[in-house]
Amino acid sequence: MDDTLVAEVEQRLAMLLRRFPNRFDPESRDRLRRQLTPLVAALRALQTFPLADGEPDFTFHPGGERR
Amino acid sequence: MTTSLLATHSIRQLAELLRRGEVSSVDLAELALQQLDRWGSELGAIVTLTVERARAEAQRATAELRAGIDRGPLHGIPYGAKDLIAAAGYPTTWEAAPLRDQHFPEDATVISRLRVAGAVLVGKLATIEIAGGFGYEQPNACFTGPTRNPWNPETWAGGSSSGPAAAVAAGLVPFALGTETWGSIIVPASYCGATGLRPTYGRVSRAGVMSLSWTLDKVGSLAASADDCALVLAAIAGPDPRDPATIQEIWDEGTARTAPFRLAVLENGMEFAQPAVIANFRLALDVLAEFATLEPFRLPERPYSEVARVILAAEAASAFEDVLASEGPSELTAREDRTGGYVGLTITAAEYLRAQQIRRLLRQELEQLLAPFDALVAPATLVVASPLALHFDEYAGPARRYLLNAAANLAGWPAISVPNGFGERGLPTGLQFVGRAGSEATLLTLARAYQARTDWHRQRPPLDRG
Repeated sequence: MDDTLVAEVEQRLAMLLRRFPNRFDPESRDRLRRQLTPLVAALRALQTFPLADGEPDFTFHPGGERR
Repeated sequence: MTTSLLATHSIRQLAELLRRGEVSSVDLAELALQQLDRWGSELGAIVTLTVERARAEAQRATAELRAGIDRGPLHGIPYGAKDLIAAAGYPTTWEAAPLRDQHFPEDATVISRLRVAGAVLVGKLATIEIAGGFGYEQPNACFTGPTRNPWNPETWAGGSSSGPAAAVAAGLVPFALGTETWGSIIVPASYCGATGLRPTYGRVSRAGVMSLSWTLDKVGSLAASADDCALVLAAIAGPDPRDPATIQEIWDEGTARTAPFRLAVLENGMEFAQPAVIANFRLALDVLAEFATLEPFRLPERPYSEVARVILAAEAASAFEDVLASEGPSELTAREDRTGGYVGLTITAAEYLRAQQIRRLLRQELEQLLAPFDALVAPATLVVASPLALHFDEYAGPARRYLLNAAANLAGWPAISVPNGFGERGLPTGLQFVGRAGSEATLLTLARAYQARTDWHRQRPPLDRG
């Protein structure tokens, strides 16, 4: 796992610990690290996906289409 | 009346028996209650038997049918509902220990519609706590314990529509309601050898159903056959002001295409499948070739799973923000669920919106790729059901990450899983038909045509029903 990914996982964990200061024991924190890792990896994959400023919004139409 | 009646008769056959007066709705309801109490408990498929309601609805159906009032093919037929779906008068626990006494004052729309159709609710069926939305990693993730597969009780039923799949496959109820956000109907249907229909996003109202992911959640049905699923869909589909995401058109199965069909055959992303899954898939293609032309189809390499993961985590964290703020998660059964819901709270608005923008582009591409075809066919899952004691990664490894199921759920596409044989440890395998949004009628026609040529959907696990 590269260092920047580890750092981002720690940043997100720190965000949760600030919001819930007494919630997580050491075992829970380790588990959160393991659970944050694939999320951060997924977010990174999306950062490399090409999107242009002119893309329309994401509005999701039920059923994929209006009839 | 034999104790195997519900396991050996289709909904249409049961409806015929009811109308001929050979059995009554009360008889069927009592049989389902008895079978659920005996086998549903042993399998871990039942959360709550709705005894009083079942008896009242069955007595009403019996009286109406005797008086010549006919509400259609589900009139007098017993069924179960996944315990994410509200039924007034009974707990709706979401299988989460801290919510085991949770009640809702009104029925979910789907329960109301089945009541209007004359169906008889006999039980709330097992699921995974919070529908698995907090990232469970093994089968013991609900307060009633893991649901056992009726084909092999040391094996899991799949999730999160665990109870519906096990109860239907074991022949305890003729049909059940399930839900799917990302695999929760198709996977357990395949694991248990049931037929499972995941409708198009918005086809069926989710009012009164636990929200996990507003843009991914769907309600569907599990039953023995595609024909049974079609009858249920006809009763529950359609617009609902209580769920603004519902499609406004009235559901009409009469719009199905007819043979010859043009089918896309998935060719990639299956390198980690178990050999028997692939062998059964190839055999199923031989059957499909009798009424369809088959052409190879490759799913593009895209970040389907990553997009789905971000959207699901963010929407679940929002939907459950009050639960996460409480101490509630610490009481959940699976240790991983006690922390898993929190990770979504770290997703920024910009990250969520980026995932949704990418989703729109992926969906556009998928719609174009599938446009020339009536449907895409593929294995429903790449492995058979896992042993109860194993973590999913330990058992299936990379075969857990089946891109098709992520892609199809992102696109809001319907799918139907039908049993197509048996694989490792004598466990069922599944074949799925996946179509573009709005194509349920075609999928049901295809699945019916497959099941007219095979008898996998008639196989039942060997329970001693005496």
